[in-house]
Amino acid sequence: MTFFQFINLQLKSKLRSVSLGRDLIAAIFLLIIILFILGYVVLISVSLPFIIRSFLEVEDAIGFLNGYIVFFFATEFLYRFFLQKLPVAELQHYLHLPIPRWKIVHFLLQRSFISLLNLVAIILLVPFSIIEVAGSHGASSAFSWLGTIVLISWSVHWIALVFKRGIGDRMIGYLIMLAVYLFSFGAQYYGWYSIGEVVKPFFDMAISSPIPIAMALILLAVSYYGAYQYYRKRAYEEDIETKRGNFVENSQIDFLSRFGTAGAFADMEWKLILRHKKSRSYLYISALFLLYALLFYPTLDFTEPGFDQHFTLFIGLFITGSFLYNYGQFNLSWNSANFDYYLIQKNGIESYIQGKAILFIAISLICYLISLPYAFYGLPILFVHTAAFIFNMGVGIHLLTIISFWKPKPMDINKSAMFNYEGLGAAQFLMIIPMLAIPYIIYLPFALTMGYEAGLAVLAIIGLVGIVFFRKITTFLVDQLYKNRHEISASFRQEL
Amino acid sequence: MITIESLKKAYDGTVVLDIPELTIPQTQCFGLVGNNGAGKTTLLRLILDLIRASAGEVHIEGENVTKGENWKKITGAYLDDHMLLGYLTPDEYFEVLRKVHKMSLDDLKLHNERFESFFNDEIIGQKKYIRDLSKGNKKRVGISAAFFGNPQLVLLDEPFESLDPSSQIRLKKIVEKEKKEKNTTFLISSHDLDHVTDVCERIVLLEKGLIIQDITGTREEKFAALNVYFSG
Repeated sequence: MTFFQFINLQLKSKLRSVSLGRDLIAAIFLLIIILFILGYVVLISVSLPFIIRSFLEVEDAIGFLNGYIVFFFATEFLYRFFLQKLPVAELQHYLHLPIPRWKIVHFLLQRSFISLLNLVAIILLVPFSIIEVAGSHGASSAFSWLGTIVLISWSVHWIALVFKRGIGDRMIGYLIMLAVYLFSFGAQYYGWYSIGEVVKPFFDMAISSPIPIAMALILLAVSYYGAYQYYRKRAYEEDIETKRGNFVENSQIDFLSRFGTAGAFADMEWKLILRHKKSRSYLYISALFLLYALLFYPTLDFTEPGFDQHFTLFIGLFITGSFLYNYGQFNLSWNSANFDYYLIQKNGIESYIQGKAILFIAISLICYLISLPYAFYGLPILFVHTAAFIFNMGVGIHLLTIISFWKPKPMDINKSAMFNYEGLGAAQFLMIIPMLAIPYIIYLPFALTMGYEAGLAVLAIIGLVGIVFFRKITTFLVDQLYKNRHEISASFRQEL
Repeated sequence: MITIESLKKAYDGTVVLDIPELTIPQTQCFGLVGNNGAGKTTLLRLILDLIRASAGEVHIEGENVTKGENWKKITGAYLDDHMLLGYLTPDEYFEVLRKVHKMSLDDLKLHNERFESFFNDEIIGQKKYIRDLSKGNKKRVGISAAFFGNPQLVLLDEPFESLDPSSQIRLKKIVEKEKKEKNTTFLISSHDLDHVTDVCERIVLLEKGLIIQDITGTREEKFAALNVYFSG
């Protein structure tokens, strides 16, 4: 087998993957994101010389950039660390065939190198090196300077691959990384000492001497060889299966047992969240969203009626419903692997929907309570969050549930959430619109005519009505799901 | 063909397989039986160097499987559907294997003819990805893949499971024929005592990672010995 044949197979596997092949919308979405990011990179790269000269008013643009280039590598390490992963699972398709193990590992490593991330340094710095470096020092200097940086950037690729595998999912690894980053950026910011200045001479030298580019080339070779040795030693099936020996802790939530079958289902769902990679990430993201308000609240003015007041509702809805919006967008898909189990239980669907609602309410309540200290920035925040919370609980949950019945997609919740578009369909993209627009449609007429308190009161009252009629609405939802059950369960079995 | 010396596999201190010594001579069909968790698949994986041994060595034709890789050229295996490429159609997958094993188009044709009745027109020419095939059909693809490149040693994990009765019988015929014509050595793990006693002249019974019986003899004797153990 040749590298070309291997790449050909990899390409096929991407094009035919379950998530992309079956879902055009997800593919388009992904493409748009990539184009956007590339567009930004090109935009920055073209304007970099002007930014440094005219905007920052620095005379020695090259020297300035050389002083900061280390932070580019630091950032690059970070996004490479989170985005890149060696597809070691591929090993198990090839290990039993008469292809040497070293060859497969080389294939996998080299295949990982084919990535847009490895073009970022080139795209970002080519215009600068042509305009600035070649302009003042000549073409060969520009080549040597750019080459040094690009080769180091490519070395970061291999180093990040090894680090990612080494740290794995261990919290301590992330914490150490965070500490190193905070310290080095902080040290530069407060002027204790500057790593940028320490490494600057190396990049200054790259303009006049071929030694740095030679050193960068050696670094690239060493880091590739190191990565190869590292992965070669770990190219065994047992290293792929991380499930073995996972310590199972008892995470029963006792108070849920009061709610009968629905409570048991809610408890099951909670275990599902904690014990799968993708769902855990969404739980963490929900927690991060609680900080979202810090971006806005310090600058908003709540005393005057106007945009700031109305905007607060948006944040309030988002924060008190952060779990609802994040985890809830895949509502049924989380259970795609065992949806049939709920169908064959007596009152299974009813308990399923109620169980989800119980979990949503419990976690949203926690989000709401955590968000209360934001009232420090102004008492109106307390009212907004309370009204948003009540509305989310009375109406939002049901709205989300009914939207989620619309063509849910199956997904593998054992995979990581990063750049994983399984389960995304039109409903998941559009879901956010009614979830945010409907409360505003209710709120704005009253808020604009009678003040924001009136709008909030109406929202809260409608939310309360929803809570009072919880059972009635649930019955309606159960009927809807029951009508769609064959279609949904067929789609989860990937028969559509 | 295969020699195993003081082979041990432990996960976090729990020993799941412990074989002091085992030799499988050429052209023997070697059956592996035992209840769940007995270590059958672990043994197959260790022989194929898919997992690391905690201690001991496996040699295929005198070569330590963890040191060299020449044994891969004479060994074919199908343990589970991870060994397949699910995003290919069976034909595309066979084409990949043809290149990997450096076979000619005629070789491939010959191979497919050998398996014609086993495939029963449900594999070749199908416009379906392997991942979308039924369990039984995936198994047929995988088993036939293990025979690519005329291996002298074939390892199969539960080959009869999830095959329909006709395919089970056809598979037995294929194994018999390969043994007779090409002196192929087989290592077959199975829960199906009937089939495994039919096709294997020697059967080893594993329990909790240990060899507790090494059975040879007539079909009836083997079957009786196994029956005594499993009914007890």
